[in-house]
Amino acid sequence: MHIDLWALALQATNFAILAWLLQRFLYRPITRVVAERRALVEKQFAEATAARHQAELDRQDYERRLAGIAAERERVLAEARARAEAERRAVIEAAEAQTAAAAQAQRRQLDQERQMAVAELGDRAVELGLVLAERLLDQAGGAAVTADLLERLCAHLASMPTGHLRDRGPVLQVATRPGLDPDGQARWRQRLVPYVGEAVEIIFVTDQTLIAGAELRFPSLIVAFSWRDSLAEARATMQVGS
Amino acid sequence: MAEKTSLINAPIVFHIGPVPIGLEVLTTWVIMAVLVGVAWYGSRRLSVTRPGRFQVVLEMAVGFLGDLIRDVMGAEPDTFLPLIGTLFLYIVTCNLSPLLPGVKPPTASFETTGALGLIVFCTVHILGVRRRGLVGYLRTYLQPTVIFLPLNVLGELTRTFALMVRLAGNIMSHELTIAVIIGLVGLLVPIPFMALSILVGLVQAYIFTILAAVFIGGAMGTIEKA
Repeated sequence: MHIDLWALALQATNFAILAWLLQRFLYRPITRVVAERRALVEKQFAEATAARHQAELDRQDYERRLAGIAAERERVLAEARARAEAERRAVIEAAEAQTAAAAQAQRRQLDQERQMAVAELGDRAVELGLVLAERLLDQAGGAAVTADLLERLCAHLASMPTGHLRDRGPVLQVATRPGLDPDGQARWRQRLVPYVGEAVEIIFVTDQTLIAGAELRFPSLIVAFSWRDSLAEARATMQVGS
Repeated sequence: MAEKTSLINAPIVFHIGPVPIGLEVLTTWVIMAVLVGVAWYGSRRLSVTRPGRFQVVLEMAVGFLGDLIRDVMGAEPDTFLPLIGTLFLYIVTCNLSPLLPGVKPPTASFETTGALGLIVFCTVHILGVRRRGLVGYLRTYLQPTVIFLPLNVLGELTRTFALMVRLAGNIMSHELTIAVIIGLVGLLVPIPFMALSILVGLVQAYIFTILAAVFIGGAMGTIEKA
């Protein structure tokens, strides 16, 4: 056995050349490609991480906005509820006021109608009384009624203070219904002179509106003693009572 | 054609001037051409995003060698890939070359393994000096005490010699074994032994590469000195 130094040197040289060639054609290209791929993967991973981070930020922002929207929704709903409640109260109050006003108007109208009905009823009662009085007077006869009126009038004048009817004017108009015939007028003048004095001129007239009774008409005083006056007092009393 | 025939020494095929070209050198040139051709073919159209099957195989091989350097030496593989990677690829290819009929593996000759051992030996000391400085590196031979200097020097020489002899002896003995079996029992019986030679070739290449990496790493201080 011997070592061929030429072969040893050639093999060493061959190995060095092979190492250089493989470095040139194998190791360097492959490691470069692997490094580029690793860089690409790391870049994509970084981008994916950034995208995921951004997505997380977007999700948080979305949830924040969602919470804001919910709060805004609650606030708007609360405002709408408050507004609706206020409007409901206003509508109810307006309706109550309107109802109260309508009821009051109705009551007022009813009062007016009732008063008008009462007044009309009074008028009709008076008219009915007038009709009845006229019929009674017609049936009773004028002379008897007139005599009775004269007696009652004289009694009334007697109850007045002495001299109350003197100096009331130069003319005394005596209105009666029924009318007085000349004898009746003479009787009435004879009974009235003591109260009004002889200087007063007494004129007799017939007044259908008196229904029944008489009125002593001085220029400054009227002494009424008739059914018309009594009915007017009754009507006034009824109106005051209603 | 061949000047001499020996079981240990490769025959001389031809001369270039005064330089005899042995069969192991000629086979090495063919293996170099094959390895470089494959590397050139595989690295023509490398793609970052869509690698082909062949590119994937090359990337796996380079990645395996890079991981081996990283794991054994504890260093980044870029610097040592041409040496360690080429050692493994060359030895593997040489060891598996006898699978082709009539091919004698270059690693069965001591010139080839001696050249590889010499390269590893020189690399160990060059990188050790560059890394530690001359004094610092020489001081490692005085560890743990100065008494160990002869032993350290002897160990440095013998481990390189063992590296050379182990590889050549294993491959050569396997070749001789197959040749003897073929001569004794015929053609088909050695096939299981030839299949075994694949495993032997891979293991021996791995052992040589690992030891080279360990020696270099030890000299640089990246790992405990072997």
